Amino acid sequence: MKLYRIFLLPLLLCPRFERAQIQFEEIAERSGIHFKLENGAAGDFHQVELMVGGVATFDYNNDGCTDIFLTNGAALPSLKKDSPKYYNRLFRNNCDGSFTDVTEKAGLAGEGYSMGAAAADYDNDGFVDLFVTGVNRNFLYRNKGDGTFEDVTETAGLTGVHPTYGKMWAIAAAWIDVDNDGLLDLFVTNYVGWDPLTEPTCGPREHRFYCHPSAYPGRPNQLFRNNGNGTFTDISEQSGIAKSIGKGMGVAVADYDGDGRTDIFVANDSMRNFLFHNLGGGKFEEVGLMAGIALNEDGRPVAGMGVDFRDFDNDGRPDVAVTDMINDSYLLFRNSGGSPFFDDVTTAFGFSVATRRLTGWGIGIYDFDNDGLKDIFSANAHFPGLQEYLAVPSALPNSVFRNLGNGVFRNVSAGAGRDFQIPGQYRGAAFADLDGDGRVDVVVTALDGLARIYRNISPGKAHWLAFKLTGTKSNRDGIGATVSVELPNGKTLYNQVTTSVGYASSSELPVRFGLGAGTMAKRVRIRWPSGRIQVLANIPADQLFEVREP
Amino acid sequence: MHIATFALVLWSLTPKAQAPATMDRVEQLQIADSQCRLKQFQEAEKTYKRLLAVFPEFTEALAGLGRCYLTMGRASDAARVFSEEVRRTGEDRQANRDLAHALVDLNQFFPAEHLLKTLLAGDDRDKESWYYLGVLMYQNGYFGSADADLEKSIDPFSTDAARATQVSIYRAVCWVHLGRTKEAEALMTTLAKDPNAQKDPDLLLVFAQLLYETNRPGMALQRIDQAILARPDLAMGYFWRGKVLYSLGRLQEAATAEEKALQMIPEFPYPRSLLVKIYQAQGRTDKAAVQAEWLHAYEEHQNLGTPH
Repeated sequence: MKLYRIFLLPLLLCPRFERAQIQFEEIAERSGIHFKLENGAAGDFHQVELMVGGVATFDYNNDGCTDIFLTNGAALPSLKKDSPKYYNRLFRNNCDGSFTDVTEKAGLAGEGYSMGAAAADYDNDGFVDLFVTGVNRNFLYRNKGDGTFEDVTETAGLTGVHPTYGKMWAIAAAWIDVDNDGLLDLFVTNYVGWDPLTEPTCGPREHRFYCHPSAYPGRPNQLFRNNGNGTFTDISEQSGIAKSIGKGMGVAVADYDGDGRTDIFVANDSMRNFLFHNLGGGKFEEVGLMAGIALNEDGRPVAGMGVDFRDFDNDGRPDVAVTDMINDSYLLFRNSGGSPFFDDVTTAFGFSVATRRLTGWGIGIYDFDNDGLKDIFSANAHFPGLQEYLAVPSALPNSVFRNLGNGVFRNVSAGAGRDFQIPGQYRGAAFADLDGDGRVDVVVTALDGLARIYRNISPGKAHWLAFKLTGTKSNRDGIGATVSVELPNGKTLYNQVTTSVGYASSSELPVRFGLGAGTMAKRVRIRWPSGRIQVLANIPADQLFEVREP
Repeated sequence: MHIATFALVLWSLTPKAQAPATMDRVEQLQIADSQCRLKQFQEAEKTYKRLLAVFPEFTEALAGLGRCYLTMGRASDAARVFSEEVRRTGEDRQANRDLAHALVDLNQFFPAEHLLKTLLAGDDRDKESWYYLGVLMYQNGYFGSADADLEKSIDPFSTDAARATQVSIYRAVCWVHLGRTKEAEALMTTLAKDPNAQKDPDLLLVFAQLLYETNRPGMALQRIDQAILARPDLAMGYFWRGKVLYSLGRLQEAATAEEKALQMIPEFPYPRSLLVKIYQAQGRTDKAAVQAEWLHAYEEHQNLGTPH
């Protein structure tokens, strides 16, 4: 008995060992994905070189396995993909852990200096289409359903050339049904006015730098209404979107006030963020300041990059997480539904200290360990050229923050596996269950480096449930639908269908839930964009459940 | 004979003529320096200028005038004077360092950095240059390099206690920003007992920030109140007071603190951002909207950049 006590004592005195629940392994090369993000930098410090790297995860051939599309840069100052090294790439998931480069067959090598991607079935034909943003020109690729895509940009009226400002530099895009008419409309974030031939020079002659965003004029974002006949109409002016001049980076969409209309959040670079409240009838009002979401807790604008707009505290209201630059701390806004709508919980949730030394790009709020609490992933990298001032390399490892469920996100990156510690100039990140095991994997691009595929190998036997929605009156992808899952223990989880996640990137369509120990969903409630409510009961866990709008 | 007599006269006159003048200019320089130390700035400036009008090549007077300008907070004038001194003296280390000091005060980042790094390339034991390089990095938010540079500026044999304290304050702030919160807190706790530091508002506010960010808002408020006591015109102190009170749900007190900050500096945007939230939480939506409108207009003027 004495011996037992002596043996037990050190265990009791030791601090509780907190094992990281979230773990990843990097599988890009062994899966057949070899993709280097080329920005065409040749010592002229063009601003566009910093911003490349959007990625999309979507099932282009409807085989049930999620494929990967990676955007790429171009030569400078020509802005031409004059070598295959600049091609955008589509990798088909062979559903066996391997991928095949099908870019040329699919016709997706692209043109110009690409930035981001947004995937959705805009023509409701059952095949996911692709919008690619870029410098001076955007592209819409219609999925023909036979493994190939057709460039329909001109017909659709989506080149991105602005009636007042001319050619635009678009970073990200979001598919969103703004008027709930069953047709997906398109929101495009535009960054700044830029021309390679008039690039300002910053820094001393012997030590040039990339210029601060203040060296460039802002630009309005654009909203295009889907006419349902393969064409779009620019409604930026009439909708009120064009009134707000910003420096748009990431975009994410959600119905923050529960009025059944999807709203739009835009992370701006070194300016206040925008929250476009959907008033209905195709009208929007920018309400970021009044909603408490435009600035950080100190009332300062941050260098906003990526954003995810998702309920991280399971209260049924979508919250917001934003990546930004070193010294700012990533922002966390909790939607309280009060006045103002959002509380800045960056400090309260432990993010001020945990992220102040980071610069972030892609971000996603997903339940990586399926414990019923959504965690946060961020793709990190400081701007190149600043390492001598920051006294740290610009390449950083990515981060994963575990939601402890008590209002704290803990940085568990160090325990997320050896591969997860690899530093890089990371940019875009897209999220999907690539191997069908119910755990959310991550695809991350890296400037002047290889794309990484982080396969989620988190241990444990937590259960999960995913829903693939097919709209009938609503848009076919069900984008904008909100889903709640009630567990047998009475706990309710919330999520919504969106592909607009992070920085210049697009994530899988299925909406996912970690059920923890729960082996079934007792009740599932879907609110479709059409307004229809659908209720399902007793759905067993650990499956991708397909739901058709009644 | 005539020439010899003339030479003799010249010989006899010259020392007599020069000796009082030499004494005079040194004495006058001492007077000017003393006036500057006593913060009799107008008189000091006049004395330096009078001296330089009579002895335009008197570089010590030029240096004195430049340093006095720095004391006055007139860094632009100081930089102009030190530039002239550097032009005359060439590679004189002190003159270049003085110029760098002025450039740091002006936050002319690239010229200051270039000059200081050139000085340090010539002698990396130059503690003074490390100090100014550290300050330059600090005030531009490059806390990693600021901390490293400031560490190199520490002279264990120095008798300048005020400088040593200032370096410690800067480093403590750096550590907060670098996430070295435990070390920062330990150093700040030590500094709080140092008479040279315990009333430093920057230190007290960053200490408050650290306490706030580590979920000790009550202790943060104490530090903020100390800072305000030390500097009753500290608008940033009132801003922080309101911020912490808002987090505690003490809305009316938070509003009062932010309004006080605005009274001090009407163009101060941060309190307005918080007032938008506080007024809404109080149900005073119209007042919140006025603040939001002000912030919209402010940003349009400040941050949109200019086309080129």
